[in-house]
Amino acid sequence: MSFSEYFENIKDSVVSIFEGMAVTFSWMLRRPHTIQYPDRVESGRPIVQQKFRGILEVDLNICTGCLACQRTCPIGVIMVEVSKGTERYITRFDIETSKCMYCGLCVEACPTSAIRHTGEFAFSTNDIRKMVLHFVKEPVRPHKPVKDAEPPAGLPVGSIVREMIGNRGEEYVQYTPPPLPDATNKTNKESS
Amino acid sequence: MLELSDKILESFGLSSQYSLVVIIILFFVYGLFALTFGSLFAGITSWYERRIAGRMQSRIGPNRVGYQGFWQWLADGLKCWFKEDIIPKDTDSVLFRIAPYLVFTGVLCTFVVIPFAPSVVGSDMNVGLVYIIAITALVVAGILMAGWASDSKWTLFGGIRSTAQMISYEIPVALSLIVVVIPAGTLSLQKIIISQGGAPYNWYIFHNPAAFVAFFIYFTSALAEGNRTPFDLPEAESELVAGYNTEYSGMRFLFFLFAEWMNLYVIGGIATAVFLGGWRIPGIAYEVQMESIWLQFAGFIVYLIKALILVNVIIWLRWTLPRLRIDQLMIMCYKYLVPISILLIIVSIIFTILYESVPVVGLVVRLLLFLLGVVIMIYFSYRVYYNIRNFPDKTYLKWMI
Repeated sequence: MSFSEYFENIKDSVVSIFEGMAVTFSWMLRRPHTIQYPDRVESGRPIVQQKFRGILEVDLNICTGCLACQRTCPIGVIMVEVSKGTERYITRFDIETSKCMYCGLCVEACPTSAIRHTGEFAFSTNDIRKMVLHFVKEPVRPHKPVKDAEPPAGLPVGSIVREMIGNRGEEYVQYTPPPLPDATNKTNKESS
Repeated sequence: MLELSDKILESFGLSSQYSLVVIIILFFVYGLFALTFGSLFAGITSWYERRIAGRMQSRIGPNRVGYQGFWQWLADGLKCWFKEDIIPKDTDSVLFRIAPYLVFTGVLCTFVVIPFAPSVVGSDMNVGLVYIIAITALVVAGILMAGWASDSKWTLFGGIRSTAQMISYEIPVALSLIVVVIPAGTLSLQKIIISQGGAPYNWYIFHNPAAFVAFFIYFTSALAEGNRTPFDLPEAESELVAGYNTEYSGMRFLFFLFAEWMNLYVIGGIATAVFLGGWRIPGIAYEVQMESIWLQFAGFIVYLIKALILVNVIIWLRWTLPRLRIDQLMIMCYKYLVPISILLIIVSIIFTILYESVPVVGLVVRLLLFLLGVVIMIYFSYRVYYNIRNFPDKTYLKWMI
């Protein structure tokens, strides 16, 4: 090791430690990225990222009833029924969210972007059957896209599914289990 | 302590034959005080360090137990208290049991000479610095014992690494302290503090260029001696599975951690006493400070603040620098720190002789070095500002979360 190399090493370590400490100290002055869901959520700060793949929802105002989503789904989450005849009606549009793996293939297949991911994720329940979301309340006419026209603006993303699940997730957070059977009765039974 | 016991004997009107009893009681009280102070410091630092670590990594850290998670350290202590104390089957059980207490004692014993306030000190030994360097050898013995007795490969590696590292780094620690001992002319920590002034440019860190460099050498090698990152090879979590304390659990494990965090205060305390003016308050003479009890208390606070700032720097370094390799560690000690500190001793001798013959030079050099320190601080704040400004994510100043 030559002399110049020796002093170069000292200079390098001093400068790099100095700069590194400046970097870490600058992080002390920043807000942490952590979101303390669910009980310390700051208002006005989005909980999820913009392209978050949350629960699927379908906007029946612009759904063409083409069944592309049902065909492309690898695990059969989506169940669509369209009545045959001269007047076509969508009679059923169910999404079984308990099976869904949020791959987003249906969203890509949809020609009118009727089916889409939302930012919602808090919808846990005690009953798995409640995880099936029925979107069709009464039969609707499928949307017919007009050529070379602007596609109609659908409902805002997340508004439909938010109405359906309500504050289900929050309810589950505050869920208190039913009281256990009375201990005295139990011991009486066992002894008798 | 002796003067205090004489005062107590006088005030109670007892004859001098009771002096031994009074001294023993006084030492016991002081020991309890040091133990309480050290343990509380270690506990609170464990919470504080995790909070700082969180913020530096853009996380939050423990914030659930009490206000801002302050009682986290008590919760962790209780958890460890109730844990099962496992002693593996093939261990050397006596050594296994003694080792944590040896480490703890080794660190706690340094509190004997570390002053808290002008007259609150366990024993103002005339060989204080030598005592500190000698008594910390107990830590080496304890860690090696723990490594050997656990009957595990990882712990043995950790113990041997630790011994090599701590014995090596005692040399630069001692040598860099000598740089200050030369102008001070004493090894007693209290006398070193007294011989410094209150104002920053009278501190020994700005005494001469050699002392300025020696402060950083002392700080680095004290970190290495205390097994702190970036020199935490003995307990490298990612390589050695926590090294010498792998097999420990419950309170025995906690004693190692107590020793580690108390050692932070010891490093900060010695650096404060030797380099940063200790409990001296600017503009107040030493004799005046000794008389008034309020000035004594103010001195305690000043000392604590200086030591805590250094503790902050140690924690901050831990989350900045990566761990060194063992050969890099040894190269750094024997090729860089030891030769440089020997050179610094010679420079310090020259400057001390120069100051005695031409006192004006002393004042000029001190003021220039103080200015250098201020310039470094200003440049550092500029770099922090630069880092914040040039980050794409817009920043927010938010202290508590």
